[in-house]
Amino acid sequence: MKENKDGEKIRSLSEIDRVIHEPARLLIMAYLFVVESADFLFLERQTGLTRGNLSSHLSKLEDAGYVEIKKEFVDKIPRTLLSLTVSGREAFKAYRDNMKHVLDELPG
Amino acid sequence: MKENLNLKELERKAYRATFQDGFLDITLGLFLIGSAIAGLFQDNKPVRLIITVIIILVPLAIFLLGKKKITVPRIGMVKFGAERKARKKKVAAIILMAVIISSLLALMAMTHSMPIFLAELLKGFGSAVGFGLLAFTMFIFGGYYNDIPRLYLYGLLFGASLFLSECYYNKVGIEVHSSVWFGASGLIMLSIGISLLIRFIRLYPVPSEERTVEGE
Repeated sequence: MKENKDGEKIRSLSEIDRVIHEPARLLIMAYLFVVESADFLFLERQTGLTRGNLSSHLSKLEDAGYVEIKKEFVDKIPRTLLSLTVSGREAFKAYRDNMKHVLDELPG
Repeated sequence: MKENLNLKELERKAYRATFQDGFLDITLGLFLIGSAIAGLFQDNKPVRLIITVIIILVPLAIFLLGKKKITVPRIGMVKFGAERKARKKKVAAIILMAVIISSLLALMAMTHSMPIFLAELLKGFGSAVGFGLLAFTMFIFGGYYNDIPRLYLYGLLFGASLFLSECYYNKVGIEVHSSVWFGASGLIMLSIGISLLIRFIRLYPVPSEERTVEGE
C-alpha cells in the first residue's frame, strides 16, 4: 500500500508541466488565464519582464500550443494580441491541480 | 518578479491598471464642474441647455480620446473574461435598481402619494435624498464591483453635493449657492484625476518601437 502511495507522489511530480513551471512562463500563463486576451505591451507592463525575455517565453509557449499569437491592425497601428488556446487553459488548470496535489502531500 | 500567484488578485491588478490613468476621475470631475456652471444659469434656459450638452459631451470625449491616444499606447490593450463581464452586469443591475427606487421616490413626492412614515422621514429634504441616494448607491457599488475604492469617496462627494445644495439652507440657515458644493466636489475629483494622469504619463512612456514577439 505504502509503495502505491509513494508511486503516486512520484507520478504527480513527474507530471508537472515543465513548460509552465518556469517562473516567468508561469506568470505569463497566469495573466493570460485571467483575461480573455491582451496585447504584448500590456503583458510587458504587467509582468515586468523585458521585451526580449517576454518575447522568447511567448515563443516557447506558442511552440507548446498554449498561446495563440495574432497580429492585428487597430487604427492602423500594428498590435500583437495574445490569448491562451483551449489546450493552454487546460494545461494551466492541470498544472495548478498537480501543484496543489504535490504540495498537499508534503509533510509538515 | 515578486508576484504572488493569487489568480483573483492578479485579475484585479490587471483590471485596476486600466483605471490608473485618471481619466475616469477627470471625466467625473468635469461633469460636476459643468453641473455647477449650469447651475449658475438657472434663469437662462437656452444657455443652460447648451451648457448641459457641453457637460455631457466634453467629459465623454476627453475620456474616450484619452483612453485611445494616451492610455492604450502606454499600457496596451486587454479584454477581460466572463467573470469580469458578469461583475459589470451586476453593477448595471444595481444601478438600474437604484434608478427605479429614486424615480419611485421622486414620483411619490410629485404626486403627493408618499406613505406617511416615509414622508415624515424625508420631511425637509426634498428630492435631495432620492438623488443623493441614487448617486451614492451608484458610486459605492461601482467602486466595489469594479475594484476602484476611490469611487467610494466620489460617492460621498457627489451625494453630499446634492444633499447640501438642498438641505444646507434649511438646516443651517446660511444661503450657499448649490454650484459651490458641486464645483468644490468636482475640483477635488479633477485634481485627483490630473495628478493620477501626470503620474501615469511619467510612469509609462510611449514605447519607441513596436511591441511584438520577435521572429513573428
